Amino acid sequence: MRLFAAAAVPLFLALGCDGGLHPELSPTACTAGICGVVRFRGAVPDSTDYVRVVVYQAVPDSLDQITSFAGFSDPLPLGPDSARYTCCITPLAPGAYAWVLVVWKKLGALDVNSAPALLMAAGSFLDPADTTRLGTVTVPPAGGAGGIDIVADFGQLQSISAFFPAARAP
Amino acid sequence: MRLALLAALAALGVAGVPAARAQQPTLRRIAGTVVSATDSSPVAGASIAIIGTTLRMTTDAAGRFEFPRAPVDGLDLLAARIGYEPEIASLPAGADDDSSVVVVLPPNPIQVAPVVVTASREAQLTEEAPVSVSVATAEDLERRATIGIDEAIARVPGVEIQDGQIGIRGSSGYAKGLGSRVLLLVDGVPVNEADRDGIDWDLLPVTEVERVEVVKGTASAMYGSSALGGVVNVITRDIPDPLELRIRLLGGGYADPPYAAWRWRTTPALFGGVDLSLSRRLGPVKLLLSGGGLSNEGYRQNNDDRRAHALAKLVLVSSPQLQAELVAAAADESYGQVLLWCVQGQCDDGGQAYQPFRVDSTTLGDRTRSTKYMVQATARRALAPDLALRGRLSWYRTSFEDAYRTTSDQATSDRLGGELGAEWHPREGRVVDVGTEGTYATVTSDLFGDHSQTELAWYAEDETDVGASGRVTLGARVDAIAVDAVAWNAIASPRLAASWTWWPVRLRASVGRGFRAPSLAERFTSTAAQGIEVIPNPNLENESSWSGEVGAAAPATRNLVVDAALFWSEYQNLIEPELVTSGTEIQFTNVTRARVRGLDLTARATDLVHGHVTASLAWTWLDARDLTADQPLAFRPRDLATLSADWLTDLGGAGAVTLGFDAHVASSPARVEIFEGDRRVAARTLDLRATWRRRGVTVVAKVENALNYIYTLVPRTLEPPRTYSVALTLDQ
Repeated sequence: MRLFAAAAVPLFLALGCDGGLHPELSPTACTAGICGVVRFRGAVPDSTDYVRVVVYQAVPDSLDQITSFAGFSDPLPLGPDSARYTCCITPLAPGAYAWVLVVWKKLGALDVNSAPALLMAAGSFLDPADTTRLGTVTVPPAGGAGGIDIVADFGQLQSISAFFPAARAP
Repeated sequence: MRLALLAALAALGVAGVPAARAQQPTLRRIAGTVVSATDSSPVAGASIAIIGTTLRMTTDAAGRFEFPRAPVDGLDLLAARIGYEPEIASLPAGADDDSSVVVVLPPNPIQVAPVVVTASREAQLTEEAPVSVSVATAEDLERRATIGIDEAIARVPGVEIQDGQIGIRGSSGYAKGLGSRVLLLVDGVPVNEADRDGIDWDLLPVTEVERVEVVKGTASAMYGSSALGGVVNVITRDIPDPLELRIRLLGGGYADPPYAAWRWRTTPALFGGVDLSLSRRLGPVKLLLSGGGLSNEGYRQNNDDRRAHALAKLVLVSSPQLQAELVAAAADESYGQVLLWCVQGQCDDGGQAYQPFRVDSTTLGDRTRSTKYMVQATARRALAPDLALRGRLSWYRTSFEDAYRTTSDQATSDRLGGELGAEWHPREGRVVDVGTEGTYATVTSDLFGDHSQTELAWYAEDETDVGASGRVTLGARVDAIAVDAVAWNAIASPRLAASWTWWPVRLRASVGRGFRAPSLAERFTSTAAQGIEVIPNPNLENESSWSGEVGAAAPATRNLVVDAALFWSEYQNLIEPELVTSGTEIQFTNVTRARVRGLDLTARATDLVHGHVTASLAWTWLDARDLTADQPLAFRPRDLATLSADWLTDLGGAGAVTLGFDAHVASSPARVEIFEGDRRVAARTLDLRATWRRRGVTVVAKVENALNYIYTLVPRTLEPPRTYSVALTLDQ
């Protein structure tokens, strides 16, 4: 009996000395790439394959460049009203990025030819000083760029090819 | 006929099989009763065997047994039953029938399972087993009121179950259930999945299980592939003669997370189930029918589970010479898929870095439906007191359908098996066992393709007494395996084991070779998810090992038994998922050479505190290293420890009450292969239970993980929080 008592005491001490896993607040600093919050509007279409944040170094001007992303995020969760994101799987190199947008991908095989029909812009990061213009994001040499918040509206999807400079020219 | 059988034995490779004897031995009838030494009441369900012969049976409800064709020589009857000391009754030589044999069994609550069948394929006294065997008895299962068989053996010393995948003494880590290094048997028949080689713990209702035997260490010399790390043998329960109706109602719920930041629902998640069985003897046949279901809302988001199962068992009891049974089972399960918990941004994270009770919102609604069907027929025929034949046929089908938001997969696999073997007792104290086994596995799947695997095996084992107190086992098995009917390869798995008594210590030692053939899923999986592609590797080779063990069991005091075992395994060609050069493709490859060694220590005491308390302590220490990469093997805890105690008191006419607990600790693994940066904590749980029994009514109330300790065994996969449950069993 003494053997069991001797074993029981340290076991119970071990049970009590660690509270297990506990909540941890999200880090507020953006340590790599770009970070922000995407706020959703409108109903998510049934034909949705995924929604991601996508980064271009410059706004593409032709179909050939449409899949030349500088980086993209994991698929965003679509249940809640908003989603935090950190981009990208491969950290973005320091530098300026002309277009950060939320892309809605329709179900279907993606290639250069099908991209105009399958990739839609749901919302872009806008210049805080002039929200009629796309905002340029600069990733510093060390750390990341935070506060890159975007509104994604599934009621106003636009083909990415509609943003080509030629298409937007008057 | 006998000549032909002996010739067949010789052809199967048994050295020293004599030609047919000149004379048939004279036989006599032996019958009697097994009774308890306490009050002379009959002991039903006791195993009784004539030592040195093939003759054995189980006593009926009145404790009776009968051997109509026993030898006329002097003989020893061995009787054993859980909760009693095994007893040997000697009968003198004589040609006259004897119908009045009485074998008296002294009660011994320390005796967990006096007889096991998995360590050497035939029934033997537990202390004579040359390898470590642990047993979870029906009493253990009832006391813990478990839902699945995996829960029932999760507290067996040296066993750890990580998200359904079992490892025995560190043999397996975690690979989403693929390629189990532990073989599951149901009444001795293999039932690992044909495609993934995994284990379906929900195949059988736990209420119909008599006991679960766990053989630790490689057992490929007897059971071939998958028994690389050990064997779990689920023995279905005996069927009593009288009509019996058994109902179990189970209900419970999960506590809220201990932190408000993790709360995810406003009402408690509940579960409930019912099991119903009916059995009786009808002439020469015993029949058991059982069915049930369970509905569980789950303790996590998207974690609901609905199950239904059915079981039928038919046992032929016409004579002690012939034992035949048919077992058929079916199980259907539909459950929400929880792959990983939600991390920042994947769900409504409430500003938290992770939400362990929630999943990535993009996977909400992902479900899997899984069905299993099993039919197995086994027979054993004693042709003479010294010779018995046995055979089996089995079929096991599994299928699953994943219905995910982004993809859907399915697979259907079949495993057909057959075995023919013979057991020969050339003299008292020696048993020769030979046989041949065949398995044909097929899969049709959009993940694994359409493939088959054929396995043929031949085995022989000689177990013999050496001197007055020793026993030596020498055996080997040769397996020949072909995938898609091409590229046969053969593997030999020898084993040498011994046990002997150096009073009062029973020593055991064994060394053997084990192997595991890659599963069809490991060879042929072809899929892609989230930018990562899994590519096939049809050229995977077998994993193999050399394993050894030295153990000792001894009574330390009148009411305390201690068992210690040192074990060691050297693995070659372990199969691991590896990133290939492209960086986005994963392939299963033979990459790892590994060594696992350690110590198992168990102590079990009874009759403490004026006979009211039973207690046990089990501790396993593991040193598991990947020798190729010179690092710890992933997902192996260094320490596993469980302290259990039960206090029993008799309330007279009001029944009996037992209060008990399990305190379990598993250290955090030194290495994991995914999310290595995540915080890891040891598993520390305290389970409390209370049982009340009176006249066929048993109520078990439990609080598992009473401290509501939040932990994982697999990264980002939450183990259950505090869980309350009540089980009511009516046995009429």
